[in-house]
Amino acid sequence: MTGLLLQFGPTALLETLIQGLGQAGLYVILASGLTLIFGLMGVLNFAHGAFITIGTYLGAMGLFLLSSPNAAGVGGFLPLLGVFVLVFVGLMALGSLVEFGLVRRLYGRPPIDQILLTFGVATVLQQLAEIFVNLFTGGTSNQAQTPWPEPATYGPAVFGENVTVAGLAIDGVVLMEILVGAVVVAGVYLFLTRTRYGLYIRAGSEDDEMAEALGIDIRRVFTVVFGIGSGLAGVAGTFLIWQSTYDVTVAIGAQALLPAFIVVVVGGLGTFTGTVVAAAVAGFFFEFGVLLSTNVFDFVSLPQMLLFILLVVTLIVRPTGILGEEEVGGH
Amino acid sequence: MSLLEVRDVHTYYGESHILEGVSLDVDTDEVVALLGRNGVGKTTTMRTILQLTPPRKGRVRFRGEEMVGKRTSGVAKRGVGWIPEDRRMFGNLTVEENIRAAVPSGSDMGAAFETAFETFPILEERRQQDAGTLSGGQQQMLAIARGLVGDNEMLLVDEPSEGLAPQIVADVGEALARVSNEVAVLLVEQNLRLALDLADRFYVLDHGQVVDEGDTAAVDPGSERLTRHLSA
Repeated sequence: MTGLLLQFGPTALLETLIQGLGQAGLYVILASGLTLIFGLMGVLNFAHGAFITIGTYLGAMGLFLLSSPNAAGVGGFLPLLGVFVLVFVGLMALGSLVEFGLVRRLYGRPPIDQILLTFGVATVLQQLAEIFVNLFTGGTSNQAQTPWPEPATYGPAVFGENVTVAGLAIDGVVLMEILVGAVVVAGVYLFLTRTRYGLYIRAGSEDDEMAEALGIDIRRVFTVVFGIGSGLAGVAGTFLIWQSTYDVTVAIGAQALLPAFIVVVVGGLGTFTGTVVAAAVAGFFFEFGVLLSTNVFDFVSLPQMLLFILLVVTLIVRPTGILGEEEVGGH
Repeated sequence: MSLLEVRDVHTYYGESHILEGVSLDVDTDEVVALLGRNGVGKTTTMRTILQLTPPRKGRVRFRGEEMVGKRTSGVAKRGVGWIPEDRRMFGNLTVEENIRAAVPSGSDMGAAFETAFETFPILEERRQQDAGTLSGGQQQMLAIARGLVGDNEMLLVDEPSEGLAPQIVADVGEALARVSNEVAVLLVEQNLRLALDLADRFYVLDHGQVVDEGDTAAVDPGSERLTRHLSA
């Protein structure tokens, strides 16, 4: 093992670590919503994937509107910031609406009802996204007649290009993922620990009935959490535009849901800190897999396989996840 | 008009008929004990008042306003506090956060802490400690403190002495006596002596029905009138 590591040299290893951190940032944004919603409401939200998809397409449209191809300097970053805000707010509104109109009716019912409902919502939203995309491209489900411009090129010029940081060559999008991931971790942490709603969320995650009996309208808290979780899913979806491992089709969200679920389960269902730790571990596993598969074995699926190995090992050694407790979810 | 009026409530868990037409009143500044063997519906009566387990039939009025059909948070906001059996602390939240969660939005947080810490100084010492690490007696005090800071006019107190050492029971009893000077209390308590000491009136429940009621001054813990319905 040591020989294997030495073979790459410190530069390649450090680059892999930083890329792992970027991947971890992406996983945190992908999985935070899932873990918050499960922790508080005990709902496994399968509609999360559809929110990711809508985030991808809304993000792409936002870029077309606000940015121009290969925008350099600040001219690339300001529109991107605008797109993130637009996507977060848009998806937060959609998520709140889905919770308020549909999911709310099923609290207190068996989990399978909620899984079926959110799965149904996911299917409907994905089909709507497909119809919408086809209307614009004049294509069929498999073939776009007039392909969209490549949204990835509408990001800052440094996305997809290597930036040299302290002698290391790092893709600009990786640095952005680290930055936004850190902002999300800090933001969610401060929200949970410093605000009244955060306090209600933590109280409700432990005992929603008692919280309600203290005068906390737990349904409103549920709507807020569902909204924030969906907004984060949307931002994660926008980032997928620059991920070469994902195909930009309406199935992109379902594809990204898999690593998100792995991160949530490995971290421990419903614990935000666990999700952050698991995202870091999974990020490093993934990028180490990329390093090995591009340099040692010719096996492109190795990174994904390492994620599944991580999941399986966790489930065998510590079924509650790294920081999970025995009981989670109030329902 | 009483502060709390429960009229002919019928409450079910699934198909099990738990409360079969319970009626009771609690007046302002009154402490009323709800007595009875295990499983006769005392906790269910409290859950029914709070609308945690709404009745299928009957009325629950608080300050003349109908509570049936309201959400539990709505009942709580109107001034009904709950100090449940086994305390139900938020164990991963600190003592301070547990109190904070119980203070209605818009209320003075500083005054709430003052009330809580004046009544239970030990809670101030443990302020930053996770509630789950408190002793049983301290948890009970925190549970009562949560009820106190909630701007409540009435507290539903369920088995406050359960699982506590005798000396601690005396402390909790004393705390409840002080609290009852401020608010009306409906008290479920297996320790008959404590219940009769604290309460002005009592109701006895059996098989989901009120079978006796009266002034606590008129009975003593060993009287046949009480033991008939309370001994196993």
